[in-house]
Amino acid sequence: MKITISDDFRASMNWLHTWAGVAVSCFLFMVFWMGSLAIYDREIDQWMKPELRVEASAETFSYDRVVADLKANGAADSPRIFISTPSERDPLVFAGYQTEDGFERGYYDPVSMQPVELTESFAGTSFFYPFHYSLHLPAGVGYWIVGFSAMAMLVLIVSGIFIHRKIVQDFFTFRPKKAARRSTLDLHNMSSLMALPLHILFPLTGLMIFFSIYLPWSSSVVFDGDEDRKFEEAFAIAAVEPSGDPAPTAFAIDQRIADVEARWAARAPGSQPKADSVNIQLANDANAYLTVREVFPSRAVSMNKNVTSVSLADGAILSDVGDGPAKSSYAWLAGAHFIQFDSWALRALYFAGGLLGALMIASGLMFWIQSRIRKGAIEPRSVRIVRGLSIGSISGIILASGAYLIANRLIPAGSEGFGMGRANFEVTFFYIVWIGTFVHAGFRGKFAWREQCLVIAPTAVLAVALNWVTTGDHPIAAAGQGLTQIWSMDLVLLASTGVALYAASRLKVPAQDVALAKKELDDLSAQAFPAE
Amino acid sequence: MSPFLTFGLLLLAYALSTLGCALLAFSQTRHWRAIVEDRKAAAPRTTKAGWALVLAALVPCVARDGGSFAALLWPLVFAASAMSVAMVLTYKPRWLRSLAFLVAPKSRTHQ
Amino acid sequence: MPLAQWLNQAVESRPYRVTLAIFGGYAFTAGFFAFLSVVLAHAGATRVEGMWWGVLTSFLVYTALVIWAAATRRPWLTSAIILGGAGAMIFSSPILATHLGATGIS
Repeated sequence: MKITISDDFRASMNWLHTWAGVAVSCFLFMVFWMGSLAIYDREIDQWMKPELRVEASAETFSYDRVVADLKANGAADSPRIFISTPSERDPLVFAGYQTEDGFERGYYDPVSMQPVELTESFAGTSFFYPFHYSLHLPAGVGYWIVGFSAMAMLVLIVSGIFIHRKIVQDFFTFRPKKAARRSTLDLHNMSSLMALPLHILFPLTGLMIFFSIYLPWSSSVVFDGDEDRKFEEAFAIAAVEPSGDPAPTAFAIDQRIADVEARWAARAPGSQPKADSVNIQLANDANAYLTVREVFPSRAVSMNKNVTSVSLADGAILSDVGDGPAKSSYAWLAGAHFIQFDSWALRALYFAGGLLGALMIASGLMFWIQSRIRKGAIEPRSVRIVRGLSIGSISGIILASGAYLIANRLIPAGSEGFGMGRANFEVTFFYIVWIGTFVHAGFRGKFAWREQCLVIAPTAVLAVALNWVTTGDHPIAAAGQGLTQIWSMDLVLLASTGVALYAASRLKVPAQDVALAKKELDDLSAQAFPAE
Repeated sequence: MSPFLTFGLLLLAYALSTLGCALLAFSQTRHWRAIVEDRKAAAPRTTKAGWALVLAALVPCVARDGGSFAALLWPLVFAASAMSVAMVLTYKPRWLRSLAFLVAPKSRTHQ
Repeated sequence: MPLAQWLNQAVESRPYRVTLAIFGGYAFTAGFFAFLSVVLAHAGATRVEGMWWGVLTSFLVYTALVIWAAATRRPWLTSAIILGGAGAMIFSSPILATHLGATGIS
């Protein structure tokens, strides 16, 4: 069967692809860049918080002991205690409890159960990772921008496939020696086609994960609009009333969890389920119960398949997540987005694939800009605006991320001022540099691409050097101690120096265009600052 | 499974997929002409064989991690292979020559 | 008939298509999700499964609607189907849900 695509249809797809692309690509690049970094968020945490550079304990982990320690240190009256188990990528215990006005949480050494003071920083898990879905904007605005961009990306992929004529040929076609416009389009086609399944997977599953935000009304209609019931049934959250009677002095938490794990193992033969997140609810009541989860199994893609609530007093099962075909499919798709399983090969390929997506977006934007420049003519204003925004969103956010790492190594511990702490100083530095790149792009026009790349290169080297100076873990020392995360990150930083220098060499404004480009900048500043 | 075996299977998947991508590139006139350095050469019909090899890479992927992981690993290995072949075609197309003669021995006469 | 002519031109225009794609598409998708999950629950699936089927399909439906609205040669018909379908499903789904009663509970 041969599907013929009419010219009419192709033209409307071309139009859609062009303008949807210009509208969301700046946001999409931010999301792909931060999302790619988030693939290694724990490793970035270890780099930015050197106290985390410890090996995971091989000792058996006892929840009973953790809870006893927490209760001895302030959690005695708390109704809710939660514990995340250490793992290879997360060597410390993360635990906490509910207080009268919020939550008290912290990291604990898994052997001594002593609290570990960490460098005060949002780092990978609390800055880069949430950035990729919330943009750190207030009132949920970021979620909607990201959701809109993700929807647009799905449309862009479909329209992009329709306007494509030679799919197999373009897989391998890159002609760097041809005109900039041609090689930019080659790069765009190549990076889109190669990792196409991944480019579809990320926006689609990202939207699915936040279905409750994006389609709030629809998802609760089947529950008669009852949101609580939706979450209860969808995520197996048990609703238990307190009895009012005090809890017995000791619960056998470890035993209950072992029973739950045996239950999970029985329903999926061959798997070795391991609880990684435990919540103790109504901790001081006779009706106290556990919600035991295996959120991220290490040897399976599907996440959150095992969620069980069990009574602490008698071990009765209070709720258990159901497992139909739709729920299972969702569990796989969501797991494929979260990438928390234990597979170094897949994680590395995902990282490369995410950056390939970022390259696809950046080259698409650059192609739009290049196809609107007529030789020898003054550029239209629309081109200047899109270019300024693109530079700030592409090279700008990369530079700001590097600056964030440098701020992390330079700001002294315990810094305070202007009503914020150390972690917010780092974030402020990130935003100052980022806004600076937009301003720079506005003033320097097409020269800004190369100039920002030339700043990214030493920034990455400086980050590696500062890690060495402040922690002593230069790549060779880190390799000697088995700190794979640290030396790998240093090597990636050094490699990005090389990439930035190569990009700078390719982004040079051709000699014959320099005079015109300078004149354009002069005209621009004459408009912006007219002579009195 | 021993780490050598898992690494070996990954390597095998990459090798099969890369070979498949090379055959796909051969089937494209422009790429074929660049490889054999002959502007009039007709590309061999290796498209089906190429896709078959790419598909065959699924076998070591499944053997390594099971179907659930293979569904992710296989397309990503393909991306890595396609990238490798594209880079070789761009900067060192001659590297593919010996392979090209294996596929289409007659092309040697065009030199 | 200048008004009819003006209307015809308006629905053919790209701004209209974009508006239809974004807002009409969203309304249809929201209705579709609700309708599908309720219908599946009536057909014997659990409510949660009904909801997850909605999650799995909605964003693909939305994508298809955007492509359709952008490319359609009969914008009147497309508009009628998208907006009419959205209205019908948004209106009927909650009513159907109340008739689920005790059935379909997981």
